[in-house]
Amino acid sequence: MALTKHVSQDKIEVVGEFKHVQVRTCTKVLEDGVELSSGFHRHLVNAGDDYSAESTEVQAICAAVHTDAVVAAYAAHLEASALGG
Amino acid sequence: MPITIKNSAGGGVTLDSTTSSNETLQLPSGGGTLVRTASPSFTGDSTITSGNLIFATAAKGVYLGVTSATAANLLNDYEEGTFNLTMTGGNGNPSSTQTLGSEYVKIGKLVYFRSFGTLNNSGASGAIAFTGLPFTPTGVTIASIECNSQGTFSLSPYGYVSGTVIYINQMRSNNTYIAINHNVASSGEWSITGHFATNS
Repeated sequence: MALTKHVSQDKIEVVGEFKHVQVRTCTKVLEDGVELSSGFHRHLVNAGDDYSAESTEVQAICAAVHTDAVVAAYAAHLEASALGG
Repeated sequence: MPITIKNSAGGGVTLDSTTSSNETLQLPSGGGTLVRTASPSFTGDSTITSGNLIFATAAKGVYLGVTSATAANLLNDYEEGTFNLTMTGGNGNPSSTQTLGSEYVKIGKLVYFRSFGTLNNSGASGAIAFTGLPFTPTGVTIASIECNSQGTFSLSPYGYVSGTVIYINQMRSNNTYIAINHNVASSGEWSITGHFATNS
């Protein structure tokens, strides 16, 4: 009877005009390969964020979609909505 | 060896027991597949005596309240999990990263979230905001917040959710609002609760 923990990024999506990268991390606890429990944790990587600590796959996606133009557009969007409403 | 029942009038199998509830179509206990070649209809209620209903294809769901496939009635997503909100400052972030442990539940397009915790905003200045929502919202929405010690304000604060950021504001009058700036305190309690729509 062996308990193991398996962590994987099971869903990575690029969403919206500013190419937000949504990452879902799934953590499973298995007993002899049979799932006992699982849970999700999510985080977003926005254009302009430092993604150097992200997984290799997420880094590759961010490098592809977070172009200078997207980063500048998102920064301008944040500036415009800084106070909100 | 498979058995095929087929004639010009159509084939089929009828289970008919004189004892109610004894009509059972059973697949091998080792597993099996009930294959259909067209969309079958069921009359009466259906009961799964144990186990859950699992779709073999992602993003499939159930049309509720209608008798035909109508996009607006399709419930095809449910998810619950955790995320972290990170405190920021318009003129400077806290000296060390400050995060609120948070939970979300997504039902269809609607995401409910709840964040609670105690933060240390030493080193932060300028307008308070939080980043790190678990999904990308469509449009803007308002979140309810409790801000204890770490903001300077005289009216009730609220969270303005725009993009993936929650801006902490207060209404100054019936038509003006203003950002709430950091008031440094080594310990301040925060509670943020809200919901938003997402297309993801």
